[in-house]
Amino acid sequence: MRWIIGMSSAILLVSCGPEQSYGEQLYQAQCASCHLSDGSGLRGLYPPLYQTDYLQEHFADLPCIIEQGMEGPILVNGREYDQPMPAIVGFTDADIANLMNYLDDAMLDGKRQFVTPDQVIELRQGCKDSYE
Amino acid sequence: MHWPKLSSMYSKRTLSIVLLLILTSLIACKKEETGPLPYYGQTALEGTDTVYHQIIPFSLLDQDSTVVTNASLQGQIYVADFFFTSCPTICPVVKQNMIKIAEAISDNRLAFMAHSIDHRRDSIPRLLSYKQKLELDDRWHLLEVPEDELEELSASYLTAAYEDASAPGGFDHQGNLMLIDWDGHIRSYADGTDREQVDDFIKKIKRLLHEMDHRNE
Repeated sequence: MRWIIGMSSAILLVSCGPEQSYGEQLYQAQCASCHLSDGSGLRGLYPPLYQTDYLQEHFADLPCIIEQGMEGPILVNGREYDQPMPAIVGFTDADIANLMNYLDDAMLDGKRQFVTPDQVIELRQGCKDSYE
Repeated sequence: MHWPKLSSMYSKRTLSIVLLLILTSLIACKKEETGPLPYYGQTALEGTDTVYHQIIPFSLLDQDSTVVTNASLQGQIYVADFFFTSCPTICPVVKQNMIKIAEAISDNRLAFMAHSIDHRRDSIPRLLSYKQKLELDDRWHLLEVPEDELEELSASYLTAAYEDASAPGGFDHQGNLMLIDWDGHIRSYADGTDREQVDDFIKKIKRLLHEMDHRNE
């Protein structure tokens, strides 16, 4: 009996795995359908995020890109992409902060300072008309 | 000494029920994996012949301005879906899964018919650029569907696709994948956003190719 309880709790632990962070949940729900779960992108259509120069250089633009969407060609790790990204509606400042922290951890080096909702508000005040 | 006896009887019965269930599911699974695939849609009887639902006659332009008709696909089976290139929701996932199918099955007798439901934005050059960006091979036809033919054509594939200003991207549609045989019959179905269903769908396509090899025996 003890053996059965031990086995089934071990199976439960393995099958449940670690819990997703809120930032990861947002990423999987809103971003992964195009950029893929691991951020590798879809061939020449949707650009990758994982270990890209574009994400590295435009990290601070993320609040504006999420709010406004993007259009026009961009260069990501030396390859050109030209597929419009729709604006993501319904994200709060806290959502964007959570997402940015997840992106830094999972897609970049994770060395950036923790982003707070107040910083997101600040970044959004500097939004440009478009991002390239 | 009444209780232990009852409980051991109970457990024996449970055990036999469980065994029976396992056996039934094994048999059921085995049956599913061989033999011809089922036919979807309404069937009719004409005399003594069973007539299965067929895709309606179509004549559509693909990304190379080539006319694709039921007849031009003869000798092939195909996977069909409805999408649009600027679709922000389910299409990217469905396309990823269609690519996965194309990678899993390189057989030239399998074609891919992706019908664009966005007659305004998805011009032929745009469909061609989409095909190039996704590095799709010559088995793929990205098709323009005239506005007035969309409803009847998608209904014939037993799926829904229509314009709806309130939906994200302006169109409402299902992310279904349909498997069509050499006679225009629907032989399998999958939710193109569901990885497990797509894996099962790949097995069904292989079965249909096998059926195609042996149909004149």
